[in-house]
Amino acid sequence: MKKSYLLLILLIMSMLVIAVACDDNKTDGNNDSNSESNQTEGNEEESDEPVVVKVFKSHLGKGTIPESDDPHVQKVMEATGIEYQLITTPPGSDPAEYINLIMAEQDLPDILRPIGGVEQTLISQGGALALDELLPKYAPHVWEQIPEEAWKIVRTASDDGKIYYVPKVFMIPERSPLLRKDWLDNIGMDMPETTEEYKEMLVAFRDEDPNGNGVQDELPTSGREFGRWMDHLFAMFGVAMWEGYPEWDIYNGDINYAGTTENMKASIEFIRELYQEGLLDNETFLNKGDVWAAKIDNGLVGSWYHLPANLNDNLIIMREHSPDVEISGMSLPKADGFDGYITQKSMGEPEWMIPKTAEENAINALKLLDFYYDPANSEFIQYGIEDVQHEVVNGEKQLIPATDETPIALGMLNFTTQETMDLRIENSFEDEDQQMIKDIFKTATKDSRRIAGDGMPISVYEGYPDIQSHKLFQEYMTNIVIGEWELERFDEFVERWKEAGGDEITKRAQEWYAQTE
Amino acid sequence: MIHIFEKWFRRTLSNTQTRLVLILMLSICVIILIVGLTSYNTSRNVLQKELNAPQQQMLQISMNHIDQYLKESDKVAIKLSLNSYVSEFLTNDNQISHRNISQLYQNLETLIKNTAYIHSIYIYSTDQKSIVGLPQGFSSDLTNFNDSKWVSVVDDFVEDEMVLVKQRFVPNGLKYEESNVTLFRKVMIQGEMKGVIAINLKHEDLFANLIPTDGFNSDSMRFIVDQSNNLLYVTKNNSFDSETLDYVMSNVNEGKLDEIKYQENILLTNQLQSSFTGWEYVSVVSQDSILAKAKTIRNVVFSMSLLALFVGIIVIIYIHTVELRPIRRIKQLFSMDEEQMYHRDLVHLERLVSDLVSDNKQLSRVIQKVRQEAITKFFYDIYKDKLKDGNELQDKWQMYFGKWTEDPMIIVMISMDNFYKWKDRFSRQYQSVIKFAISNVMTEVLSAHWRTVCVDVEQDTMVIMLQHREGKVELKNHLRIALSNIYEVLGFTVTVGVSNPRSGVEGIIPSIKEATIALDERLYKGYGKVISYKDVSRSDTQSTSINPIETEQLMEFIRVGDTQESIQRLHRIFAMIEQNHSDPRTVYLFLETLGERLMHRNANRQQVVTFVNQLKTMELKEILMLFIEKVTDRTEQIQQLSQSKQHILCQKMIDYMNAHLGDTIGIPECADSIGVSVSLASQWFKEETNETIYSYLTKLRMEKAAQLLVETDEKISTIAFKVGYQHENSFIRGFRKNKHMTPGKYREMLKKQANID
Repeated sequence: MKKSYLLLILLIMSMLVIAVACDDNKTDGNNDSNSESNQTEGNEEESDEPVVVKVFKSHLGKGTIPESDDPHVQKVMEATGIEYQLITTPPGSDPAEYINLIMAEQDLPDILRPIGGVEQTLISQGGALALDELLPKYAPHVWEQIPEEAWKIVRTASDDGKIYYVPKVFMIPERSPLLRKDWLDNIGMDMPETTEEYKEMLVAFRDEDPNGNGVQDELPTSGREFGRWMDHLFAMFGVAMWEGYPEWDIYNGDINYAGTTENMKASIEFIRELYQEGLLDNETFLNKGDVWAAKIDNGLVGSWYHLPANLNDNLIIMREHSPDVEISGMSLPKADGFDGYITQKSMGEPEWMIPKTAEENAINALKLLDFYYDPANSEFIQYGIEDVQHEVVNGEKQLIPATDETPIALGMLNFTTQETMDLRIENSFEDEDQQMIKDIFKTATKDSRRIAGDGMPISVYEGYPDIQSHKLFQEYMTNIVIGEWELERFDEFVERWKEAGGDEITKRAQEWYAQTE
Repeated sequence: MIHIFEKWFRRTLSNTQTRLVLILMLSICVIILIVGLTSYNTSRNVLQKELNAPQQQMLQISMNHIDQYLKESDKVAIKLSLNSYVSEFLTNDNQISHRNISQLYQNLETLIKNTAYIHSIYIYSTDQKSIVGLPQGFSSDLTNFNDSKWVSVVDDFVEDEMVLVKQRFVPNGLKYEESNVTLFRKVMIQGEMKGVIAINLKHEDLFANLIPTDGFNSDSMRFIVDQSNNLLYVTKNNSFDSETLDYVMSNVNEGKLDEIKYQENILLTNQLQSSFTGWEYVSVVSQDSILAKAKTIRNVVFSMSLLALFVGIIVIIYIHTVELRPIRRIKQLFSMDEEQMYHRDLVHLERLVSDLVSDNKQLSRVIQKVRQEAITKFFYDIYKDKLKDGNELQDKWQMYFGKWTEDPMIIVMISMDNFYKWKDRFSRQYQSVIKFAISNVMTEVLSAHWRTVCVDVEQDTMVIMLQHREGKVELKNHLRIALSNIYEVLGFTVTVGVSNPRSGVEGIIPSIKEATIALDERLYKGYGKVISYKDVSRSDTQSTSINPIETEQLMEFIRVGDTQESIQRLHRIFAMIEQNHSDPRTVYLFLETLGERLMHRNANRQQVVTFVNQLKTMELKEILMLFIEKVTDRTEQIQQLSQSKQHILCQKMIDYMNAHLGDTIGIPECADSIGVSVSLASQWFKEETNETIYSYLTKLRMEKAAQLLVETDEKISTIAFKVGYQHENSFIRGFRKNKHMTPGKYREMLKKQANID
């Protein structure tokens, strides 16, 4: 009897001990997750535990978020000792809203890709980590590959002149005027050389059923509401335009807002003509992205402005209607009295930044980033893991097309040159399409140039959100184009713009520009 | 087989204990079962009811909530349909009014932003086949509107119906679709249908209320079905598959709790129908999950009752095989009739046992008696020395006197003094009672210190066997006390003879003999005495006998009728006996002979024996008195007789004979002497003397011869001649016949005797 009591007591005691031990483990775990990023000394304590770096990146393609046992995650961890944990916006939610939300909740990742101007908020509020000293030490490849010019621009983004983000570097133009070459062939015309020829072509597109379906459903050219994504029409007149937002370039000998220039007025006049003649889709200013894209995909649009590197998805749908679809880049037609060019912003746009809250894990975040910028890893970064991201066909690596079910392999390198773009084209397009896309880039590159305002921080707009949002410009431009208002009211706009703070902003921009020289 | 079992069962049931235990166990079993089943059913019903209320409430709340959402959405749709921009959009032929659509965009955006559960809103113009919506925007062509397939809903409206709620798939971005509920509302302008407003509701928000709160058991689910039996929403659950769902959907009834049996599972279902949408809301809970506890109760109860039954069976078997084994054996002993046994075995057994006990009482009484008699018999046998067989003796001794020890035993003979007188005094039927009284008195006095057994052996004699038990006591004193008690109580005396102590059964006979001898000593010692053998034992067995001449002389006096002289002679003889003090047995023998002779000639044999026998229990004095009385009788009788003629004539003949003994006389001479015929003389003589003339003459001649032989020394032949015999041989023959010896021997014997004297 006595013996069994003893046993019982022993049993209870041992259970208690185990329970306490479990509790200890639990609290340890909680500590980790609570302050994962502010525990650098934790590395030494738990050397066998992988270092986790949370990476926020929106606008990912198809696929699922990889788990920690994902081969790509594992491979990166083998190379760096860092396990990346990819965080993205939940399906259906707006990325800009979401990132504002996580900022408000102080639930920031270790490293993030800012969107919607969030970088300026972080910098101005002191929430961004200065990387000047860390970059050369922990991310030497990043530091060395990105040209000094770009770093210079990055430094101008803050008052204290420090590097708060790693910039995107795009050495070639991303956007290009696009043209349905097959339509051109169908109506037997050549590439337009001048704005007049361009207009003739559009008329032919409108009237001669280039898509051959027997219905006059063609929209010779189209854009989106607020005049977005019809930059080619402005570019012909030398307007610095970025997805419908007027940019800053040298006008009248100094850097100026393109929206108030004569070039702008001339382009609006031209566009107004096109609109009145039905050459510009009359629903343009009602088009939201989906409908606009659907119009292009459904083979209704002949000339438009978009990202040639992303054409693949469009091509697939277009070919359902017209198998012979052929797209080509359009050299900007010459407008009389204007030097047209395609606006190119090559550097200065923020790509990666580290929140101050993640300072303790910053080294690891930079190490991870450096892994991607190391040319030695370019092959892995390009192709990923065999049988997961790519397969070997005839001795050549080929990327496996992503599906909804395949895990996404994190990419952090945004350093585009002619070579990397060619590589990307080769990897994401069918063989027969590759040359077409490369040609588009060639044409675009020929016409494009870096604007003077490339890399100008949005801080110049501080205190003038209406001007920053280009609402005033959009209102006048839209109403003039659709014929509600007379063209003359453009001058009214210029006046109002200047009164609303345009002069002050122009002053700031010119100061900034002076700084960069 | 069945028959055997039935028989066994009946027999087992006939056993009272088994029946008792069986009834008890069965009733306990039944009680447990009833209690258990009642509590199970009650708790199940209560649980079901209790559970039904929240289930129904939850369902009602959810339904109301969803209906509320839908009604709100409908309000939004109504508001929109009255919106001027919308009516302009629907009625204006030239729709592409930037101002109008921009305003619509703004309105829609405000509505969507302000209404959390609205995902998107579309307005479809039936006239223009164009659509405006958010977030997609305006499209004059349906093909450019991503999500325009629903427009066929226009045909689905039944006449007056204004609102339709449908589930469909709504694109989420360009690539994905998701299940969604859309509210469609007709827009009527001037009585004409101009368009449809579609409000896509956020699926998760709409049905958020259906999702059970955390921790609720996962064996439940809720789902919604629309009018065309499409499943709109199912809460996540672990336990129900789609087949169950289909089954429930086809079986559920509205408004009340239902039990639906499906694949071994009882599902408790609840159904409500929304009056607004016509959707059916169903909640399903597996009864098992609710009643898991109640089932435990049920199982415990069942196992308890089974256990009770089992224990009962064990007890029955135990009682039957172990506890009741003695009773079974008793039954076997009684070899009871099986058929009889079935009726109340124990009652039967009780009757049997009571019978047995009363039988036993009777039997023991009989045995007591028989034992007493057997002991008496045994003792009598020993007394009579009939038991020659040693073994038989030992056996019987062991049987009757097993309790007696090896210590020496004493035999005491009790004899009634003057038995014949005693016998006359008490009538025959009282004699045994008196003897019993004697034995009682003796036992009473002696049993304090002795083991006693008292046996009636002969008419006058009882034997007591004693074995000393404890205490130092004098037997004689106790016997004297006993004798005095007897005298006081019964009024007569008894004499006891006491033997020497002797061990073992073998000693009994010698002891009896000793006691008898001691008892015989009464002759001298008188009545009411305690006589020990050791006091009377004689060293010499040689006894002095009375001279026969004394007797003859006595007889002669009697014959002649001389009373005086006869009594004197008797006194003389008794005095001699007293003086000799020889062995009483010899004395009794002598006295018996004497008594016999004293009897009258005419007395029959019986009288003689009786007279003689009585002497044995009498003391000498009393015998003398008896004899004197007898002699007196005789002499007086003789005196009477001799006076008669006949007697005188016969006396004359005897005188003649005596005078002519030496002559050769015969009967004729004797008859002649008195002058009567031979025959008459013979008759008379016979009557007077009870002898024939011739034998009397011969007797006289022999008496004379004997006298001569003793008193003279004459030759036998001379004596023969003197007493009338011609030849010596015939004399010798006659003498021997008369005196049982030859004359020579007679002379020799008597002479020897005379020399001694």
